[in-house]
Amino acid sequence: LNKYLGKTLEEKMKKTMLSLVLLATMLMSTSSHAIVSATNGSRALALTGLVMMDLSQVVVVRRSFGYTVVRVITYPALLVAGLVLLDDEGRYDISSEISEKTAAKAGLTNAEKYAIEDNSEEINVLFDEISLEVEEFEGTKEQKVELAKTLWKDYSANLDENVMSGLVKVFNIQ
Amino acid sequence: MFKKSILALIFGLLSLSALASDKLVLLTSLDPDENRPRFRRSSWDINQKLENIFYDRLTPYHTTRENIKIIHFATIEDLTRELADPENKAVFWVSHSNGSNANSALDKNVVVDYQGKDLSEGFQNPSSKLQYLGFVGCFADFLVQKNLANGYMQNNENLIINSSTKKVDARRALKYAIGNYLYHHFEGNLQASQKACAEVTRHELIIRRTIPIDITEDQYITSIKILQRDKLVGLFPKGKPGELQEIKVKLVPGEVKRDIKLVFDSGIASNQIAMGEFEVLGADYQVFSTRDGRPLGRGRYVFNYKGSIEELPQTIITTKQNCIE
Repeated sequence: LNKYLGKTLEEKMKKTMLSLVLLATMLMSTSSHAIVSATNGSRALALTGLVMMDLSQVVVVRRSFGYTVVRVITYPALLVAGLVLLDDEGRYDISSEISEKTAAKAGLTNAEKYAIEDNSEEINVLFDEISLEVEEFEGTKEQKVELAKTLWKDYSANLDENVMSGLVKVFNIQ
Repeated sequence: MFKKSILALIFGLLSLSALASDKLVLLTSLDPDENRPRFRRSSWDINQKLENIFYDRLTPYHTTRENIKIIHFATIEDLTRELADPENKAVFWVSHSNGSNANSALDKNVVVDYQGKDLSEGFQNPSSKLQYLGFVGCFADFLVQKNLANGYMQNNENLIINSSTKKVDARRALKYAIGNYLYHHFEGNLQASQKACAEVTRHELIIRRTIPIDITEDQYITSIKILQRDKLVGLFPKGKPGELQEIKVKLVPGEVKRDIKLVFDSGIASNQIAMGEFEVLGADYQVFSTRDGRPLGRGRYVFNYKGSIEELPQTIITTKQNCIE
């Protein structure tokens, strides 16, 4: 009887294992129609690179408060928190219109405001490009941010110089 | 006998014509596998649930099943076609969306299809015959307000739009939109535009897209939006490998070159999109690229006009897109 019970238990175990494997297969094989795109996390890191481009401000923060990281890390954290509201899907863009309120808050010159608005299409193409390059790059978050910073500098070379200075100001609004 | 046949034929034609401009359309763009509540069977399908709601609430007392059109996994092609179809009285759209009216540096007004592609510009041009739009999606009203503020969605001054400024549940919000439609129907508030179509001037251009022949298994060929400063001026259909597509677009005349900049956009930032090559015939457009000439963009390209404004084709006089008299 014990032998019989043992066999039954063994069989039960096998069945359970088989069911689990099948269940796992079913869950994994659930086909999704979604196309793999740059994640919101990568887009936030790409923007962080943009924020970090204004090195003079980072130095000021270091001198004033004794640490650099707080400003640089806090802002992307806020960004990521905001992105949760995005209903977890979809590509969000850098706005093509800068309101007077935002321009004043960021201290944009007229030339910077118009440069951003006139080049909004190019800016968003760069945003896509950099987000995906950051996503594909294998490294720490800090390395990814560093890469994003370099890419923003490289790719924006063909744009009006007021674009980047303006963007850095807009994304540094506290 | 002959008289009876003629009468029956006339009656039949009259009935058909009465129904013809009264079509009710449901477009859903949701991936059932990603939109299944917890602890439900794999057979539980959101699209089927929405379809049942649509039929249950509208037939048989309000209309017939033949007068209803339902498309699941709807794309921007389906959306623009159904919004432009003069036979449609009401269109209901259900998908994920997001919106905000905050003066943020990020534009959060997006509406995505079942694959995650943004199709928000697809709502810009409902026909002057469309009387009701039920836009079911989270925070969808912000996109509607943005469109109205930018002069879109205005072919029919009587168009009634139902959308929400909050997060919504698909089934509950669709039921609400149908109820809202029926209320306006029975109150007699639904009507096509009574205005004559205004004349506008446009530059007519032909744009060519060549889809690559070699498409890998993980690549997608999708429809491509043609945008002139956020305005949807054309749409390349999905197409097939190796296909050569040509479409005519009507550009709004601009005073400076940046006004006639074009964007070719799949709606998603992804390496999996087979965009193809683009050429604007008879006009000097160049793609935004790196210094060594590599086009920049994953899933969208920017084309800048390099010629002078005077070199563009002569403007023509036409009516606004989808304005039907």
